[in-house]
Amino acid sequence: MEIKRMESHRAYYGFAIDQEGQKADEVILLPMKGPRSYTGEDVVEISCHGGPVPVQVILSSVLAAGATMAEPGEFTRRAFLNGRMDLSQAEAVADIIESHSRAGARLALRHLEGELGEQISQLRQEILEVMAGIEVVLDYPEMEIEQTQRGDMIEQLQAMKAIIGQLVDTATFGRPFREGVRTVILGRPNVGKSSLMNALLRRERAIVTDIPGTTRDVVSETIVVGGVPLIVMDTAGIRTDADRIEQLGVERARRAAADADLILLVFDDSEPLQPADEEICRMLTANGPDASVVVVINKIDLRCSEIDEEYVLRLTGNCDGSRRLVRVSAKTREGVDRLAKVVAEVVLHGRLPVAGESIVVTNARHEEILGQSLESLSDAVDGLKEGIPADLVNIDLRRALEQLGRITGETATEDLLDRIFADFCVGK
Amino acid sequence: MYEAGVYDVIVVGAGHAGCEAALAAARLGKDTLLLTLNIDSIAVMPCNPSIGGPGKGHLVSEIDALGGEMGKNIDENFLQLRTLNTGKGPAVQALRAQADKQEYAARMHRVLREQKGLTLKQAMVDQVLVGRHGRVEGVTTKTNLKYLGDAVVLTCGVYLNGRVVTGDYAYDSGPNGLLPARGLSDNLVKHGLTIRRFKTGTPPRLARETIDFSAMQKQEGDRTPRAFSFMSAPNDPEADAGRLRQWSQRPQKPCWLTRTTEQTHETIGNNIDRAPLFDGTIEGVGPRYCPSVETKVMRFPEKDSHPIFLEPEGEDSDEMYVLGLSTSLPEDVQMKLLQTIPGLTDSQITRPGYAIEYDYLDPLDLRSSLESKIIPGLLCAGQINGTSGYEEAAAQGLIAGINATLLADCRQPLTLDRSEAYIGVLIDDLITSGVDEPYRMLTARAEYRLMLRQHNADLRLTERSYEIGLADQERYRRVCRRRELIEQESERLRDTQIRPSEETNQWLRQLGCSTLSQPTSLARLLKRPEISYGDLLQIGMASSLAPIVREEVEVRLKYEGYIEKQTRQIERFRRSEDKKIPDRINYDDIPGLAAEAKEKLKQVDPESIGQAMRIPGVTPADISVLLVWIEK
Repeated sequence: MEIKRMESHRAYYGFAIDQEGQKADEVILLPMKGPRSYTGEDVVEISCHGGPVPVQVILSSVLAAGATMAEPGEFTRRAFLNGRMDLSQAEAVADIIESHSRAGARLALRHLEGELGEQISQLRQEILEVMAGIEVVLDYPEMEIEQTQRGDMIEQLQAMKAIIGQLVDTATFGRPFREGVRTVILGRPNVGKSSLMNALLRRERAIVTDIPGTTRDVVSETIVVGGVPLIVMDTAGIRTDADRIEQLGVERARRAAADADLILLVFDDSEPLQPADEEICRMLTANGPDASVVVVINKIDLRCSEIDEEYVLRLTGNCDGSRRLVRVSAKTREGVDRLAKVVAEVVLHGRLPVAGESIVVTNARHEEILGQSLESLSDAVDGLKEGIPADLVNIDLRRALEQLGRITGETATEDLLDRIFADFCVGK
Repeated sequence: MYEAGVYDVIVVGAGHAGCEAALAAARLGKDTLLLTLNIDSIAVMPCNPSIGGPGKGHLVSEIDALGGEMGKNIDENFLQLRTLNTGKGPAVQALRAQADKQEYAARMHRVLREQKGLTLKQAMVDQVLVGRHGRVEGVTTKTNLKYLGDAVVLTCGVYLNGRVVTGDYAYDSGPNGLLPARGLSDNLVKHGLTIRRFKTGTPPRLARETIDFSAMQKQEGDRTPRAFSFMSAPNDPEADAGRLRQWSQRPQKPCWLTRTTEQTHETIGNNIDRAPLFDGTIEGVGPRYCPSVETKVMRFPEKDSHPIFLEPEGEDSDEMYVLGLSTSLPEDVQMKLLQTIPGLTDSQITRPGYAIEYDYLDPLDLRSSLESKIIPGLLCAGQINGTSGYEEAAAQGLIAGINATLLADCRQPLTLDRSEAYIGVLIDDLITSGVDEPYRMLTARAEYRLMLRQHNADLRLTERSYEIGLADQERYRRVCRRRELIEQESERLRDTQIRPSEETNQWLRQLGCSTLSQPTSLARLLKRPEISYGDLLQIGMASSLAPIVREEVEVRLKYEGYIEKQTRQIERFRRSEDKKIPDRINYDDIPGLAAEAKEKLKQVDPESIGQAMRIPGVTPADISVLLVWIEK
């Protein structure tokens, strides 16, 4: 049956046929005719079996038939252009799509509901209050209004800076949810890297497959560990078989480690420390990677305890007392839960967003704006301390106000006038 | 209907807007007719006898820089001059003058009479004539005359269907007992313009000899007063000491400060049931920045006293203006109020305070040239656009007069943006946000006010006016000279190094700042907050330059960092201003725009994305949709 003739919003069962006329996969087809679709245009969804091969075959067939790949966010952009949603919704949706985990989605949803907006509006009100106190004296010099003391203004601004600072800090643990944590599992051959990965995978049963060559140059898989999406890079070798790891070489490991946010450094507890182990450790400490390192002692089910933990920790430079070392057995899954917990802790710097409680900044644009407004407020505080005339200090405050307004979409001047006339009795 | 004459430009109303409009058009070579309800009431100040102050003083200097008359006129007729906010930053320092009302009006009348190409007539205009293509053709009067013109400028002020209220007595009148303008409002509505109603008010005037000034605090003018006009001595880059001294020696009159008391507030409270503002008699919206005394007392009950200033109305006048006591309470209550105020206990009212309601036109129907979107060739300026204040009116009048001329000649109208002038801020606010109370200029309205200083208005604007042909040769020569001197002096300060000698360090210690260990330029030294240009005199490093040059050099140096910040903000602002919206855009065709945004955009018809962003009710999301649509 031709898709055109199919009924909208009804699922059809059948087979995807590739360009050579071969059955590629068993699929479910779901046509949705515009405007009753996400984008408002005609949309067809094809659901196939998991795994890269059928996806690849169907995708290339569709592309060969004249389709083009959607760019990131293209569906949302079309929905927006067709009037299906406004910009702030579109932005939050984009966050949901891009967020690799449910925790991320939940944070993005809270943006949608405007919790950040509320906090920002409150901050703006406070800035307006300070500004109005300065302005009213300027525009009504004869009205004997007392200028707020500089010290008080500084105090008030410092308090605001602290709040914005906290918001910016939340972005550091909001970001991993949205963007994922670039992770490398390192170790000499046969320490059990692939089995460790599989153990982590099985634990969460969540896998996102990116098809090589379509979106990224580097082959990677995303696994969710402790609620945090880890983008495990360079897994090609790991996934196929252990022998190929031999070809990986120290140089390649070094490059992978340099790009990583998180390194899981794996040792085999059934064998004494090998020169290759030490070489990897030295490589890591010599390059001083920015990444957090978690030492994983694998194969503890064999109960050999050949690895001297203290020595390894010292070797990896991980001797700051945090002792990020976890003993696991990828085979029996003993200790894997604890590894997940440690990974989450490391990534979130020990702070976990309390479900339903705090506001977390996950949007990169918002993070940037908050950073800028923090700078403007600092300039204002400096100006006040240096004895710069208050009306000039207002240049920085207005900047902060406008910057924050860009998150919530409010304008500056009218707000300020409302504030002046609400707070002060002026006029002839 | 008798055809009484054909002119290039017809100006209706000879208040502060009308005078500037008519003068600008006539000076630009247009055969101009100025019609007024009463030739004896030209450029009157029916409210406070003062001009200038923060924001407003800036406007006056901008009017002057563009070749307008207000600055010169007040500089000739001030009773007192004072720079306000002297302890604050350079952007908000502003000159305020007490005006001699009679002299101010008389001189303006004289200037009008002497202006070539300007005809002044008394008439009540009741119709604007619109031709076949919807263009303005002229006006008619109540006495059945018809005047034809290429452009008509409406500057009717608060006279349109004016109604005055004091207590329970209300009557149709313009301000100060003058005739109200009748008939014109109805005619404008017929043409499709939107009319609304505002309210404003004025305090009682008192007989000077009945006031006890000994119970009040005296407020003198400045010893070395500045000037509004760039043609006056203090603003001359090459002024000699003699002329400056002459200026400073002009006699000034003091103002007086007293305060309301708890008894005043009690009297108001006891009589609030007789206040037209509170019993529903007055429906028009009044200004927040100029509340009546009854409004102040009712809205801020926690304040037990408000300042009251007594200001002279003129050299030849026996009356004093009571700033702070604007009211429409019954006259007997006004008398009782005065009895509770120190120094005024025995004072006699010469004219009672009153509220006045009047019609204004929705300024959202105007383009940035001040031309009506509905009737091409018709321009509106002043309180008819919902503003308040002589300075705001004059500023619009000047721009409308210039643009009536430019449009008649099919030339590009003069528009100033928010980063160029307070006039730009004023007009942009009017045509983009509209008004929901009488609009007064405030420095807080200007986002880039550090760049819009009162005393750099000539540097910002005179060249624009000179290009159009309004600012004359001498004015242009002066601004060029000033610019030259500023640059020379800035260069000298940058290039002159000062060595860390014992003498200099001694001087620095005296000023309370840190000493030098290596050679430093004078420019760097001046950046220190403790050191002013005047201090350089002590070490023989100051030039003998006119204050207007010195001061500009100093401001630019001292506030360089902030000026840079504002410059960057202006660059960002200009990017959205430069994104023009195509002329014939149909907002109904754009999917994704919120219904409210569509309505607002259709009404305002913004010229640029920047302007669209400022329309209340248009969200950033709507702007994104608009941007995508335009670029598609």
